[in-house]
Amino acid sequence: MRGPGRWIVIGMILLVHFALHPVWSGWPAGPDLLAGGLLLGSLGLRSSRAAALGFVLGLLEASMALGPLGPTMLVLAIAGWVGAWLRDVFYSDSARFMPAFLVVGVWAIEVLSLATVFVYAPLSAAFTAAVCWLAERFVSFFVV
Amino acid sequence: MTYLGAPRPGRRRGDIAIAAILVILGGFASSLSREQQSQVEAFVRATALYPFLTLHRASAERTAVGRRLEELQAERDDLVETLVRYRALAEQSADLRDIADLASPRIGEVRAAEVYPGRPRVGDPDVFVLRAPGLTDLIFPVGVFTGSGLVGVARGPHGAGARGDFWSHPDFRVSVVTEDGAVSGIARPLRRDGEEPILLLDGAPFQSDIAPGTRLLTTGIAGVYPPGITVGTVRQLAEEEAGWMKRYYVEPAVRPAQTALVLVWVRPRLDSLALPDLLGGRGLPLDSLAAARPPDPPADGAKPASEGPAPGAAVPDSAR
Repeated sequence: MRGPGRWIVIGMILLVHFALHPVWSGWPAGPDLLAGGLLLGSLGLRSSRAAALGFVLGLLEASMALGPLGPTMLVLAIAGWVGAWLRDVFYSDSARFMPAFLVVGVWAIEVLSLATVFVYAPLSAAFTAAVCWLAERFVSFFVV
Repeated sequence: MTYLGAPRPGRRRGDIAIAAILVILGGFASSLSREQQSQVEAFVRATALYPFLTLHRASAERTAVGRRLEELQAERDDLVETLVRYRALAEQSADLRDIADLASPRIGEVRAAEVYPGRPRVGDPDVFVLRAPGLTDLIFPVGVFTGSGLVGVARGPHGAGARGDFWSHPDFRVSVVTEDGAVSGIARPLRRDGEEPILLLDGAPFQSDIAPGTRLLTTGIAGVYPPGITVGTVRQLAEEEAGWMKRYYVEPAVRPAQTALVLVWVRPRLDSLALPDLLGGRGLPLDSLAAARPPDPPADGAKPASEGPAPGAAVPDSAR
Protein backbone atom coordinates (compact mmCIF):
# COMPACT_ATOMS: atom_id res chain seq x y z
CA MET A 1 0.00 0.00 0.00
CA ARG A 2 1.27 3.43 -0.91
CA GLY A 3 0.54 7.07 -0.38
CA PRO A 4 -2.32 8.31 1.80
CA GLY A 5 -3.76 4.82 2.21
CA ARG A 6 -0.71 3.77 4.21
CA TRP A 7 -1.10 6.70 6.59
CA ILE A 8 -4.82 6.05 7.04
CA VAL A 9 -3.96 2.47 8.06
CA ILE A 10 -1.20 3.62 10.41
CA GLY A 11 -3.50 6.22 11.97
CA MET A 12 -6.19 3.63 12.53
CA ILE A 13 -3.73 1.17 14.05
CA LEU A 14 -2.51 3.80 16.50
CA LEU A 15 -6.06 4.89 17.34
CA VAL A 16 -7.05 1.29 18.02
CA HIS A 17 -3.97 0.87 20.19
CA PHE A 18 -4.69 3.86 22.41
CA ALA A 19 -8.45 3.22 22.52
CA LEU A 20 -8.50 -0.52 23.12
CA HIS A 21 -5.18 -1.56 24.66
CA PRO A 22 -6.76 -2.24 28.11
CA VAL A 23 -8.54 -5.18 26.46
CA TRP A 24 -5.32 -7.04 25.76
CA SER A 25 -2.80 -5.41 28.05
CA GLY A 26 -3.24 -8.24 30.54
CA TRP A 27 -2.68 -10.98 27.96
CA PRO A 28 0.71 -12.66 28.11
CA ALA A 29 1.17 -12.07 24.35
CA GLY A 30 -1.12 -9.26 23.27
CA PRO A 31 -0.53 -7.32 20.04
CA ASP A 32 1.76 -4.30 20.29
CA LEU A 33 -0.01 -2.09 17.79
CA LEU A 34 2.04 0.93 18.81
CA ALA A 35 5.25 -0.74 17.70
CA GLY A 36 3.53 -2.01 14.56
CA GLY A 37 2.25 1.46 13.66
CA LEU A 38 5.65 3.00 14.30
CA LEU A 39 7.49 0.46 12.16
CA LEU A 40 4.98 0.80 9.33
CA GLY A 41 5.35 4.55 9.55
CA SER A 42 9.13 4.33 9.57
CA LEU A 43 9.01 2.53 6.22
CA GLY A 44 7.56 5.64 4.60
CA LEU A 45 9.55 8.35 6.37
CA ARG A 46 13.04 9.77 6.44
CA SER A 47 15.02 8.47 9.39
CA SER A 48 14.85 11.75 11.31
CA ARG A 49 11.08 12.00 10.92
CA ALA A 50 10.67 8.35 11.86
CA ALA A 51 12.70 9.03 15.00
CA ALA A 52 10.51 12.05 15.77
CA LEU A 53 7.40 9.93 15.29
CA GLY A 54 8.82 7.36 17.70
CA PHE A 55 9.71 10.10 20.16
CA VAL A 56 6.15 11.49 20.20
CA LEU A 57 4.61 8.03 20.40
CA GLY A 58 6.94 7.23 23.28
CA LEU A 59 5.73 10.32 25.13
CA LEU A 60 2.10 9.31 24.62
CA GLU A 61 2.74 5.69 25.55
CA ALA A 62 4.67 6.50 28.72
CA SER A 63 2.01 8.99 29.79
CA MET A 64 -0.76 6.50 29.15
CA ALA A 65 0.96 3.56 30.82
CA LEU A 66 2.59 5.61 33.65
CA GLY A 67 5.91 4.16 32.56
CA PRO A 68 9.40 5.64 32.54
CA LEU A 69 9.22 8.71 30.30
CA GLY A 70 12.77 9.04 29.00
CA PRO A 71 13.56 5.38 28.27
CA THR A 72 10.25 4.83 26.46
CA MET A 73 10.77 7.90 24.27
CA LEU A 74 14.37 6.90 23.57
CA VAL A 75 13.56 3.30 22.72
CA LEU A 76 10.78 4.23 20.31
CA ALA A 77 12.80 7.07 18.73
CA ILE A 78 15.70 4.69 18.14
CA ALA A 79 13.29 2.05 16.80
CA GLY A 80 11.85 4.56 14.32
CA TRP A 81 15.28 5.70 13.21
CA VAL A 82 16.61 2.16 12.83
CA GLY A 83 13.43 1.10 11.00
CA ALA A 84 13.86 3.84 8.40
CA TRP A 85 17.58 3.09 8.11
CA LEU A 86 16.96 -0.63 7.58
CA ARG A 87 14.57 0.14 4.75
CA ASP A 88 17.50 1.76 2.97
CA VAL A 89 19.68 -1.24 3.70
CA PHE A 90 17.29 -3.89 2.45
CA TYR A 91 15.62 -1.85 -0.26
CA SER A 92 13.05 -4.54 -0.85
CA ASP A 93 9.71 -4.43 -2.60
CA SER A 94 9.06 -8.03 -1.67
CA ALA A 95 5.62 -8.70 -0.24
CA ARG A 96 7.25 -10.85 2.42
CA PHE A 97 9.56 -8.12 3.60
CA MET A 98 6.99 -6.17 5.59
CA PRO A 99 5.69 -9.02 7.80
CA ALA A 100 9.22 -10.20 8.50
CA PHE A 101 10.28 -6.62 9.22
CA LEU A 102 7.38 -6.17 11.65
CA VAL A 103 8.00 -9.45 13.47
CA VAL A 104 11.69 -8.76 13.99
CA GLY A 105 11.12 -5.07 14.70
CA VAL A 106 8.40 -5.53 17.33
CA TRP A 107 10.41 -8.27 18.99
CA ALA A 108 13.48 -6.03 19.07
CA ILE A 109 11.46 -3.15 20.57
CA GLU A 110 10.10 -5.46 23.28
CA VAL A 111 13.63 -6.61 24.12
CA LEU A 112 14.89 -3.01 24.19
CA SER A 113 11.99 -1.92 26.39
CA LEU A 114 12.66 -4.67 28.90
CA ALA A 115 16.41 -4.17 28.96
CA THR A 116 17.06 -0.47 28.59
CA VAL A 117 20.70 -1.20 29.32
CA PHE A 118 20.89 -2.00 25.61
CA VAL A 119 19.84 1.60 24.96
CA TYR A 120 21.88 3.39 27.57
CA ALA A 121 25.06 1.35 27.22
CA PRO A 122 25.56 2.14 23.49
CA LEU A 123 24.58 5.78 24.09
CA SER A 124 27.02 6.00 26.95
CA ALA A 125 29.71 4.38 24.79
CA ALA A 126 29.02 6.79 21.91
CA PHE A 127 29.02 9.77 24.25
CA THR A 128 32.31 8.67 25.81
CA ALA A 129 33.88 8.14 22.40
CA ALA A 130 32.69 11.59 21.24
CA VAL A 131 34.09 13.32 24.33
CA CYS A 132 37.45 11.50 24.10
CA TRP A 133 37.71 12.15 20.37
CA LEU A 134 36.92 15.85 20.81
CA ALA A 135 39.44 16.12 23.65
CA GLU A 136 42.10 14.43 21.54
CA ARG A 137 41.38 16.72 18.56
CA PHE A 138 41.34 19.80 20.79
CA VAL A 139 44.70 19.01 22.35
CA SER A 140 46.32 18.03 19.06
CA PHE A 141 45.10 21.29 17.50
CA PHE A 142 47.13 23.30 20.02
CA VAL A 143 50.07 21.00 20.54
CA VAL A 144 50.88 20.03 16.98
CA MET B 1 11.51 4.73 -8.59
CA THR B 2 9.61 3.90 -5.45
CA TYR B 3 9.80 1.06 -3.04
CA LEU B 4 7.52 0.12 -0.18
CA GLY B 5 5.35 3.02 -1.19
CA ALA B 6 7.88 5.70 -0.44
CA PRO B 7 10.52 7.45 -2.51
CA ARG B 8 14.00 6.38 -1.58
CA PRO B 9 15.35 9.05 0.69
CA GLY B 10 18.76 10.47 0.28
CA ARG B 11 21.23 10.97 3.10
CA ARG B 12 21.07 14.30 4.86
CA ARG B 13 23.15 15.64 7.63
CA GLY B 14 19.97 17.08 9.07
CA ASP B 15 18.70 13.57 9.77
CA ILE B 16 21.65 12.81 12.00
CA ALA B 17 21.34 16.16 13.74
CA ILE B 18 17.63 15.71 14.43
CA ALA B 19 18.21 12.17 15.70
CA ALA B 20 20.96 13.46 17.99
CA ILE B 21 18.66 16.20 19.33
CA LEU B 22 15.96 13.61 20.02
CA VAL B 23 18.44 11.39 21.85
CA ILE B 24 19.55 14.35 23.96
CA LEU B 25 15.93 15.24 24.70
CA GLY B 26 15.26 11.62 25.65
CA GLY B 27 18.25 11.66 27.97
CA PHE B 28 17.01 14.92 29.45
CA ALA B 29 13.57 13.38 30.00
CA SER B 30 15.23 10.45 31.76
CA SER B 31 16.97 12.80 34.13
CA LEU B 32 13.75 14.50 35.22
CA SER B 33 12.64 13.82 38.75
CA ARG B 34 9.59 11.64 39.36
CA GLU B 35 7.56 14.75 40.20
CA GLN B 36 8.58 16.55 37.01
CA GLN B 37 7.84 13.47 34.89
CA SER B 38 4.51 13.26 36.62
CA GLN B 39 3.66 16.82 35.59
CA VAL B 40 4.59 16.11 31.95
CA GLU B 41 2.50 12.93 31.98
CA ALA B 42 -0.40 14.77 33.58
CA PHE B 43 -0.29 17.40 30.83
CA VAL B 44 -0.28 14.78 28.07
CA ARG B 45 -3.07 12.83 29.76
CA ALA B 46 -5.17 15.99 30.07
CA THR B 47 -4.72 16.94 26.41
CA ALA B 48 -3.80 14.42 23.71
CA LEU B 49 -4.83 11.33 25.66
CA TYR B 50 -7.97 12.77 27.20
CA PRO B 51 -10.45 11.20 24.74
CA PHE B 52 -8.85 7.78 25.13
CA LEU B 53 -8.81 7.96 28.91
CA THR B 54 -12.44 9.04 28.92
CA LEU B 55 -13.25 6.05 26.76
CA HIS B 56 -11.35 3.71 29.07
CA ARG B 57 -13.14 5.09 32.11
CA ALA B 58 -16.57 4.76 30.54
CA SER B 59 -15.80 1.20 29.51
CA ALA B 60 -14.41 0.26 32.92
CA GLU B 61 -17.41 1.78 34.71
CA ARG B 62 -19.83 -0.08 32.49
CA THR B 63 -18.07 -3.38 33.11
CA ALA B 64 -17.62 -2.79 36.82
CA VAL B 65 -21.21 -1.80 37.49
CA GLY B 66 -22.57 -5.04 36.07
CA ARG B 67 -19.95 -7.22 37.70
CA ARG B 68 -19.96 -5.65 41.12
CA LEU B 69 -23.65 -5.13 41.70
CA GLU B 70 -24.02 -8.19 43.93
CA GLU B 71 -20.76 -7.45 45.73
CA LEU B 72 -21.88 -3.89 46.40
CA GLN B 73 -25.17 -5.07 47.84
CA ALA B 74 -23.32 -7.49 50.13
CA GLU B 75 -20.93 -4.72 51.17
CA ARG B 76 -23.83 -2.40 51.91
CA ASP B 77 -25.50 -5.06 54.09
CA ASP B 78 -22.23 -5.57 55.99
CA LEU B 79 -21.86 -1.83 56.53
CA VAL B 80 -25.41 -1.50 57.83
CA GLU B 81 -24.78 -4.31 60.28
CA THR B 82 -21.51 -2.72 61.41
CA LEU B 83 -23.15 0.69 61.84
CA VAL B 84 -25.95 -0.77 63.95
CA ARG B 85 -23.44 -2.64 66.10
CA TYR B 86 -21.20 0.36 66.71
CA ARG B 87 -23.76 3.15 66.96
CA ALA B 88 -24.40 2.45 70.62
CA LEU B 89 -20.64 2.31 71.23
CA ALA B 90 -20.09 5.66 69.54
CA GLU B 91 -22.86 7.28 71.59
CA GLN B 92 -21.37 5.82 74.76
CA SER B 93 -17.95 7.16 73.83
CA ALA B 94 -19.38 10.63 73.15
CA ASP B 95 -21.14 10.64 76.53
CA LEU B 96 -17.96 9.64 78.34
CA ARG B 97 -16.01 12.36 76.52
CA ASP B 98 -18.63 14.90 77.56
CA ILE B 99 -18.36 13.79 81.18
CA ALA B 100 -14.56 13.96 81.09
CA ASP B 101 -14.70 17.26 79.17
CA LEU B 102 -12.50 15.90 76.40
CA ALA B 103 -12.38 17.33 72.90
CA SER B 104 -13.94 15.13 70.24
CA PRO B 105 -11.36 13.07 68.38
CA ARG B 106 -10.22 14.43 65.01
CA ILE B 107 -9.98 11.61 62.53
CA GLY B 108 -10.01 13.62 59.34
CA GLU B 109 -12.19 13.17 56.29
CA VAL B 110 -12.07 11.18 53.09
CA ARG B 111 -12.44 12.09 49.43
CA ALA B 112 -13.58 9.68 46.75
CA ALA B 113 -11.33 9.35 43.70
CA GLU B 114 -11.03 7.27 40.55
CA VAL B 115 -7.94 5.11 40.15
CA TYR B 116 -5.99 4.73 36.92
CA PRO B 117 -3.35 2.03 37.38
CA GLY B 118 -0.16 1.87 35.35
CA ARG B 119 -0.11 -0.63 32.52
CA PRO B 120 1.87 -3.87 32.80
CA ARG B 121 5.01 -4.34 30.67
CA VAL B 122 5.36 -0.84 29.23
CA GLY B 123 4.27 1.03 32.33
CA ASP B 124 4.52 0.35 36.02
CA PRO B 125 1.52 -1.62 37.32
CA ASP B 126 2.51 -0.78 40.89
CA VAL B 127 1.76 2.94 40.49
CA PHE B 128 -1.51 4.73 39.96
CA VAL B 129 -2.98 8.09 39.18
CA LEU B 130 -5.97 9.42 41.12
CA ARG B 131 -8.55 11.69 39.60
CA ALA B 132 -10.84 13.75 41.77
CA PRO B 133 -11.32 17.43 42.51
CA GLY B 134 -9.36 18.96 45.36
CA LEU B 135 -6.58 16.39 45.68
CA THR B 136 -3.73 18.78 45.02
CA ASP B 137 -4.12 20.56 48.36
CA LEU B 138 -3.59 17.38 50.37
CA ILE B 139 -0.56 16.90 52.56
CA PHE B 140 1.39 14.11 50.90
CA PRO B 141 2.05 11.25 51.43
CA VAL B 142 -1.39 10.13 52.46
CA GLY B 143 -3.19 6.79 52.64
CA VAL B 144 -5.58 5.49 49.98
CA PHE B 145 -8.08 2.77 50.81
CA THR B 146 -11.46 1.25 50.02
CA GLY B 147 -14.14 -0.24 52.22
CA SER B 148 -12.30 -3.57 51.94
CA GLY B 149 -8.89 -2.34 53.00
CA LEU B 150 -5.71 -0.44 52.24
CA VAL B 151 -4.90 0.22 48.58
CA GLY B 152 -1.68 2.20 48.81
CA VAL B 153 -0.33 5.66 49.31
CA ALA B 154 -0.71 8.89 47.34
CA ARG B 155 2.78 10.36 46.96
CA GLY B 156 2.24 13.75 45.32
CA PRO B 157 0.19 15.87 42.94
CA HIS B 158 -0.28 14.79 39.33
CA GLY B 159 -1.86 17.58 37.34
CA ALA B 160 -5.24 18.20 38.91
CA GLY B 161 -5.14 14.81 40.66
CA ALA B 162 -2.55 12.81 42.51
CA ARG B 163 -0.12 9.98 41.85
CA GLY B 164 0.82 7.19 44.18
CA ASP B 165 1.95 3.64 44.76
CA PHE B 166 -0.12 0.54 45.31
CA TRP B 167 0.85 -1.62 48.28
CA SER B 168 2.59 -3.87 45.75
CA HIS B 169 5.20 -1.18 45.00
CA PRO B 170 8.68 -2.13 46.29
CA ASP B 171 8.93 1.13 48.25
CA PHE B 172 5.68 0.59 50.13
CA ARG B 173 5.75 0.07 53.90
CA VAL B 174 2.98 0.33 56.47
CA SER B 175 2.95 -0.09 60.21
CA VAL B 176 0.38 -2.71 61.22
CA VAL B 177 -1.07 -4.26 64.33
CA THR B 178 -3.17 -7.36 64.87
CA GLU B 179 -6.85 -6.88 65.54
CA ASP B 180 -6.41 -7.57 69.25
CA GLY B 181 -3.50 -5.12 69.43
CA ALA B 182 -1.10 -7.78 70.70
CA VAL B 183 1.46 -7.86 67.89
CA SER B 184 2.68 -5.09 65.66
CA GLY B 185 5.17 -4.91 62.81
CA ILE B 186 5.84 -3.51 59.39
CA ALA B 187 4.09 -4.89 56.31
CA ARG B 188 5.89 -4.73 52.97
CA PRO B 189 5.24 -6.23 49.54
CA LEU B 190 6.71 -9.56 48.54
CA ARG B 191 6.80 -10.64 44.90
CA ARG B 192 7.83 -14.19 44.30
CA ASP B 193 8.64 -15.39 40.80
CA GLY B 194 5.57 -16.04 38.71
CA GLU B 195 3.15 -15.31 41.54
CA GLU B 196 0.92 -12.41 42.39
CA PRO B 197 2.42 -10.06 44.97
CA ILE B 198 1.46 -10.53 48.60
CA LEU B 199 2.46 -8.79 51.79
CA LEU B 200 5.06 -9.82 54.31
CA LEU B 201 4.72 -8.89 57.96
CA ASP B 202 8.19 -8.02 59.17
CA GLY B 203 9.41 -7.46 62.68
CA ALA B 204 6.85 -9.41 64.68
CA PRO B 205 8.33 -10.26 68.10
CA PHE B 206 9.85 -13.74 68.26
CA GLN B 207 7.74 -14.82 71.22
CA SER B 208 4.49 -13.82 69.51
CA ASP B 209 2.27 -16.21 67.63
CA ILE B 210 -0.24 -14.95 65.12
CA ALA B 211 -2.92 -17.39 64.07
CA PRO B 212 -3.67 -17.73 60.36
CA GLY B 213 -6.68 -15.64 59.44
CA THR B 214 -5.87 -12.84 61.89
CA ARG B 215 -6.64 -9.43 60.46
CA LEU B 216 -3.90 -6.81 60.38
CA LEU B 217 -4.88 -3.16 60.72
CA THR B 218 -3.01 0.07 60.20
CA THR B 219 -1.68 1.58 63.41
CA GLY B 220 -1.89 5.17 62.20
CA ILE B 221 1.62 5.86 63.49
CA ALA B 222 3.29 8.73 61.60
CA GLY B 223 -0.04 9.96 60.31
CA VAL B 224 0.24 8.72 56.73
CA TYR B 225 -2.54 6.15 57.06
CA PRO B 226 -5.63 6.45 59.22
CA PRO B 227 -5.67 3.92 62.05
CA GLY B 228 -7.82 0.81 61.85
CA ILE B 229 -7.80 0.21 58.08
CA THR B 230 -7.57 -3.46 57.15
CA VAL B 231 -4.28 -4.28 55.43
CA GLY B 232 -4.71 -8.03 55.08
CA THR B 233 -5.04 -11.35 56.86
CA VAL B 234 -2.18 -13.53 58.02
CA ARG B 235 -1.70 -16.61 55.87
CA GLN B 236 1.11 -18.47 57.62
CA LEU B 237 4.50 -18.14 59.27
CA ALA B 238 7.17 -17.33 56.70
CA GLU B 239 10.36 -17.69 58.72
CA GLU B 240 11.95 -17.10 62.06
CA GLU B 241 15.00 -14.92 62.05
CA ALA B 242 17.73 -16.08 64.43
CA GLY B 243 15.60 -15.83 67.53
CA TRP B 244 14.90 -12.14 67.01
CA MET B 245 11.71 -11.84 65.09
CA LYS B 246 9.19 -13.66 62.97
CA ARG B 247 7.87 -13.01 59.52
CA TYR B 248 4.42 -13.88 58.29
CA TYR B 249 2.89 -14.10 54.83
CA VAL B 250 -0.12 -11.82 54.61
CA GLU B 251 -2.97 -12.03 52.14
CA PRO B 252 -3.71 -8.41 51.12
CA ALA B 253 -7.23 -7.17 51.65
CA VAL B 254 -7.35 -5.41 48.28
CA ARG B 255 -5.89 -6.41 44.91
CA PRO B 256 -4.71 -3.42 42.85
CA ALA B 257 -6.32 -4.73 39.68
CA GLN B 258 -9.74 -4.79 41.33
CA THR B 259 -9.78 -1.19 42.48
CA ALA B 260 -11.66 1.43 40.52
CA LEU B 261 -12.92 3.84 43.17
CA VAL B 262 -10.98 4.62 46.33
CA LEU B 263 -11.08 6.90 49.33
CA VAL B 264 -8.21 9.30 49.98
CA TRP B 265 -7.66 10.25 53.57
CA VAL B 266 -7.68 13.97 54.34
CA ARG B 267 -5.95 13.99 57.67
CA PRO B 268 -6.59 16.85 60.06
CA ARG B 269 -4.00 19.56 59.82
CA LEU B 270 -1.40 19.64 62.56
CA ASP B 271 -2.40 23.09 63.78
CA SER B 272 -5.96 21.90 64.36
CA LEU B 273 -4.94 18.80 66.29
CA ALA B 274 -5.38 18.78 70.01
CA LEU B 275 -3.23 17.16 72.63
CA PRO B 276 -5.95 15.84 74.89
CA ASP B 277 -4.47 14.25 77.93
CA LEU B 278 -0.83 15.23 78.08
CA LEU B 279 -1.65 18.88 78.70
CA GLY B 280 -4.26 18.59 81.39
CA GLY B 281 -6.97 16.94 79.35
CA ARG B 282 -8.36 20.19 77.94
CA GLY B 283 -7.40 19.83 74.33
CA LEU B 284 -4.72 22.46 73.84
CA PRO B 285 -4.07 23.31 70.19
CA LEU B 286 -0.49 22.65 69.12
CA ASP B 287 0.08 26.18 67.91
CA SER B 288 -0.74 27.49 71.37
CA LEU B 289 2.25 25.70 72.88
CA ALA B 290 4.56 28.57 71.99
CA ALA B 291 2.23 31.04 73.67
CA ALA B 292 1.95 28.86 76.77
CA ARG B 293 5.73 28.47 77.10
CA PRO B 294 7.53 31.18 79.10
CA PRO B 295 9.79 33.30 76.88
CA ASP B 296 13.43 32.31 76.70
CA PRO B 297 15.78 34.69 78.53
CA PRO B 298 17.85 36.88 76.22
CA ALA B 299 21.29 35.44 75.60
CA ASP B 300 24.41 37.60 75.66
CA GLY B 301 22.56 40.83 75.48
CA ALA B 302 20.65 39.87 72.40
CA LYS B 303 17.31 41.52 71.96
CA PRO B 304 14.34 39.43 72.97
CA ALA B 305 12.24 38.39 69.99
CA SER B 306 9.32 40.43 71.24
CA GLU B 307 11.40 43.60 71.01
CA GLY B 308 12.53 43.03 67.46
CA PRO B 309 10.95 44.62 64.44
CA ALA B 310 7.49 43.45 63.63
CA PRO B 311 7.19 40.95 60.79
CA GLY B 312 7.19 42.84 57.56
CA ALA B 313 8.60 46.02 59.08
CA ALA B 314 11.47 47.76 57.36
CA VAL B 315 14.87 46.58 58.58
CA PRO B 316 17.52 49.27 58.95
CA ASP B 317 20.37 48.94 56.48
CA SER B 318 22.81 48.56 59.33
CA ALA B 319 21.03 45.47 60.43
CA ARG B 320 21.21 43.81 57.01
